[in-house]
Order: sequence, then C-alpha cells, then structure tokens
Amino acid sequence: MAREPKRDPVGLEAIEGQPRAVALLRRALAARRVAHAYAFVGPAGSGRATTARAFARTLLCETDAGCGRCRPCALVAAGAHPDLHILVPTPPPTNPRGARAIRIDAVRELERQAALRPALGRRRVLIVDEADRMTGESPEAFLKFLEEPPPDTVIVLVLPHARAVPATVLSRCQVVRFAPRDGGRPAGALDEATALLETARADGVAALLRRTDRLDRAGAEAVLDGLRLHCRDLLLARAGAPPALLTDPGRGAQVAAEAARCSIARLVEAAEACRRAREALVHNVTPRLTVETTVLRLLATTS
Amino acid sequence: MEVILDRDAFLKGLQMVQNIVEPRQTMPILANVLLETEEGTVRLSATDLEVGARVSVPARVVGKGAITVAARKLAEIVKELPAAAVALKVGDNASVSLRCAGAAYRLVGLPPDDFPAVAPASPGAWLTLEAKALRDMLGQTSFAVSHDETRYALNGVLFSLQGKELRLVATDGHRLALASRAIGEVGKPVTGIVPRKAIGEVMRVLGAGEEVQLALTENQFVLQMPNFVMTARLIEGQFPNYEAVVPKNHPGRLTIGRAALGAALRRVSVMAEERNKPVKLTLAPTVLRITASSAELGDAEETLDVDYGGDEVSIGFNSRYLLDALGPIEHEQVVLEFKDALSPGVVRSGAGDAYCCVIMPMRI
Repeated sequence: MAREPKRDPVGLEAIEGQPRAVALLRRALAARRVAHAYAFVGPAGSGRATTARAFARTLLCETDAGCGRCRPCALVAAGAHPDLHILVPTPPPTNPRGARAIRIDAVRELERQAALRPALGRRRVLIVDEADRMTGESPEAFLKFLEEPPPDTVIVLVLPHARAVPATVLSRCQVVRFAPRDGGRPAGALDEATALLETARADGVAALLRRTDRLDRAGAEAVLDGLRLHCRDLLLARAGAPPALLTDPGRGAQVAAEAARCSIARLVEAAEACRRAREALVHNVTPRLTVETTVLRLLATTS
Repeated sequence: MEVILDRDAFLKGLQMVQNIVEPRQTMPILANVLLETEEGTVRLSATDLEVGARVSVPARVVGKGAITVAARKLAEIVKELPAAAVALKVGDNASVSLRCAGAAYRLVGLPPDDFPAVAPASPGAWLTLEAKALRDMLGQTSFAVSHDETRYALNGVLFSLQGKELRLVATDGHRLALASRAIGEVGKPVTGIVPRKAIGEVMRVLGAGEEVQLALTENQFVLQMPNFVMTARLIEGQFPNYEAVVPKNHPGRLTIGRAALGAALRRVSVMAEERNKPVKLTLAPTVLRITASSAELGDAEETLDVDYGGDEVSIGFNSRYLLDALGPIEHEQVVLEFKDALSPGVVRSGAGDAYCCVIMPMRI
C-alpha cells in the first residue's frame, strides 16, 4: 500500500535521537551553504523521511527558520506546498498489490515539475522517499537530473544504506547518516525474523510454512530486514564484539551461543543472501517463497 | 457559505477552470475546485500547481464562506441541471448541498484552507492585447512546441517583450516558429517560457472580441480577462538563441499560392515514408517540383508553375512540418526562402514578416 503523506511534519527542532544529522543540516542552513542534493542514509524507522520534511519546511519557510506559523509552513504541514515534491514508491498501475517501486515515469514527472520556476518561494525541495526502490532505468534518468539540477533546487534521497543506489548517484549527494533508533521498526522486524528462524528450527519446515502463510510483501520486507540484522548480530558476536553493539543487547548470550556454531565466512555469505533476497523483493518475486528459502538457507548456515 | 447562482453562468464558469484539474492527482485537494464568495460573486479556482485559473461568476451571496468540491463531479452535475437557479449551501463537515428546481445533491467537500492559492503575483506592468491577436500568435507558434520531455526549456512557448514588440517563439529543434507583433512601449524587457499545458488552456478560453491583459513576473505568466485570471508557472531554463536560428539573407525567394502548395504537399506526401514524411522540393526556373518516394510503396510527383528565375536547388523537408507552417497563414500567398540543400528553409506569410517558421532540411 502506498504510504499516505504524513500530516503535520515537525520542525528540525523536534527531531529526536539524531543530533548529528540535525546539527549538520543546521550548520548548512546557518552558513547558507545548502547542498543541491542530500542522501539521508540510515535504517528504516530512524526518522529520515520525517527529518527530510522538517528540513524542507525550514528551506521553504518565509522566515528561514521553519517557524511553523507562516503560510509556506502551513502548506508543507498540509502536504500542499507547490514547491515541495515528495516521490514515494507506488505499486504498478495494473496491480495494486505488486511490488512498490519508483518508476521512470514518476522520475520524469518529478523532473518536469522541477523544470518549472518555484511557485511560492525562492527554491523547491524534492524528496525521494525509499530511493532504493528506483527500478530499471530510473536511477540513470535520475542521475542525469542530479548532475544538472535546475537552480535553487534541493534534492533529498532517503536511503536504507549507502549502497542502495549506484555509486554514481550517491557521489553527487552529501551523505547524512542516521543512527538506528531504539524501539523502532528494526527491533520489531528482528523479533519477527528470529521467531521465524526458531519456528523452523524447533518445529520443522511445515511449521514455518504455516507461519508464513499470510505474509504479504511489506511483511516479507520487514522479515528480510530482520534476518539481515540477525546476521549482522551473529557476525559481531562471532568476531567477539561486546553485546552493547548488538541490535538487542539483551539477547547477547543467546546470539553468542548461536554464533559460535558457524564460521565467519558462512555468516558473511548468509548476510549476502539476505541482501540479495531483499533486493529481489523489489522486483517481481513471490514474497512468501523468497522469505521461506532465505530462512531455510540461514538455518542451514547456523546449524 | 450559502449562494444562489444562475445555472448557465455557473456552468460556463466551471468549464473555464475545470480542464485544469488533472484526473490523476497526488494531492487529493487538487481534484477539487475552490468556491469562494465575494461581493456579489462566487470565485471558482482550480489548479494543478502548474497552471491555475480563477473565474468570477455573478451570484446572490446569502452567507459568506468558502469550500472545495470535486471539480469534475460538480461540472457533471451542473451540466445536467435545468436552466434555473442553483442554490449551494455548505453544511457540517464540509458537506455541500446543491439544489436546483427539484433536484438535490449532497457533495462531500474538503475544507478550503489547504487549497493552494491561485492568486497571481502582482505584476509590474500589464500588456493589453486583443484576444484574437493573442490567439493568432499562439496558433502561429504552439504547433512547434517540443514534446521531448527531457528538453524542458522547449516544452513551452517563449514570450518575449522587448523594444516595441511582443514575440512568441517555439521550437522542437527541427523547426522554429516565431510570431511578432508591434505593441506600445515596454518598460523593462522581460521573457518567460510558458508551459505547453498553459498555452492549450489559454487558447481554449480566449474568446473572439474582448481584450486581454498579460504579464510576466519573475516566476509566472498571468493572463487576465474580465472576471477571469489564469496563472502559469514559467519553465526554468535557457531558451535557445532563436535570433541566430532565423536565417537572414537567403538568396532564393519564392512566392506561391498557399492553397495550391498545401494541396500539392498533401497529395505527394501520401507516398512518402510514414515516419518523417519526407518530400523533396526541386526548384528550377519557372517550375517547382515536389516529389516523394518510398521503397515499398512507389513514388509521387507534382509540378507547380512558379515565378522563379534563380539557380536550380533541391531540398528535402518533412512535409508535416511544411504543412504545419502553412496552417496558421491566412494570407493567400506564402513566401519560401532557401539557400541550398543543407540550409534551413523559411516559410513566411505573403502579408509580411510578423510570422515565420524555420524548418531544418532533411537529407533525401
């Protein structure tokens, strides 16, 4: 399902848990040296898109402060500012339940909009949420645009990790890193993923298949993210990292025990398999089957 | 808000603005038309953030206010209503009741606060022009606007006010059309590229008789008529240096009947290859020969007697471009200017230099 644009985005001052990212943006604003393109890189749930909207509000504000009271701020809050364009992945026009992606038509439309002079303010802001979901030729089309954006344009790409887009795209952006946040989606996804692994290990494949019976695409994405985090934790534990570095430090002993059973090379392989599966989900694969094969592959690695 | 409008006036107003509403919208409110009361009128506004229009419809205002409702549905309803008074009343939760004769509707509206303003930036100077003159000029240029979405600056018509002249220019890289018209003294020279959609809308709403006012601000094109205003965001970017494209002293010049040339081009181009419809124009003393050939279909030839005494030249053109260039010419005679097979040709009206179309030649 396409994400509804959130109402009432907050100002930069209300962004919690990302002091470094916010400080970096504030410095750029204060020095009037706003880059033409940013990549907000961090795990889902870390507040990248919210920060992007808050940043946009500040950029478009009449007082340059994101005051929240002027007309442009109100329009940004209502999702109705003509100079703020937010591109989100959408399912294919023919199949509302298909893989969500940022398709080339949407990129072209965004570029066309950006070719118009700003309607209200001095500049316009383009936010590409989940920019890693640009499919086919979209990144290339977008690259051309990133290289020569119209004047007074600020582009923000929201990315889960730096390598989610071609290096050529990323190299044209100033990277702003977002730290994972406690209690956000990743931990939930991790629980779900480890629960699936446990089910498969303890009760066999049939039980796994019963659990994945109702898995939709969004759920599958969360599980694969979780599996990847799990691999990361295992790798860290295997390499002897302190439990504080784990996604969920409370599970330190359990993770360490599991990690002891496998080799680093196998774990790296497993993490890579999770990444490939996650990428495949953007394309037209069966979400449930992808999750099942990945879980079984991990199981083989760690036992 | 409570108002009473005349059905015919209401429909006419809606039709002037509702075309702007895009059926597929990212922002739900843009599918709506904004209704606002003013002294003795209701203002209807629609926008897609690129083009915006506002029209005032005379009305009896019982209660002041504003509301937005689905533009297409409202137009559909009003179209079917009998010619009688239409009463609109906004109720709770932005619901709108509409009554006309025996018919009653309840429409689900959206509050007006989020509707992006269509209000034009206050321009420094207005240019007053007859509607017909503007429509003619747009007709003389709009056909050449590029459809190549990657070349933004060409996706519109350049308006240029300088000296004592208004110039409209459009090009797609293969041809360039230019229309100019003398106007009164202009203060500061201004230029702006008006997007294709706005051009289409302007041509649609321009009537015959009245005068229109237009203005270019930093970001916007503004068109004003009695009770009506349209704004369009200008396209960012550099328009090509069109003055360098229009050839000055072409040695060859030929005056020919517009209708005869058009008919011959249409006849011959039947046999031209489909994609570019190339035809070859061969000029020899007293004769213009137009030929087309296709490997699969065969060929066609037509000769016209012309008053020409220069050297023999033959040039290939896309016949569609030639016919497009002839289209807006009203005068019976057209002038063709050319140099050689590799230089662009120029089509002008026999009536003068106010309009010209430069067409790149094709190798045939």
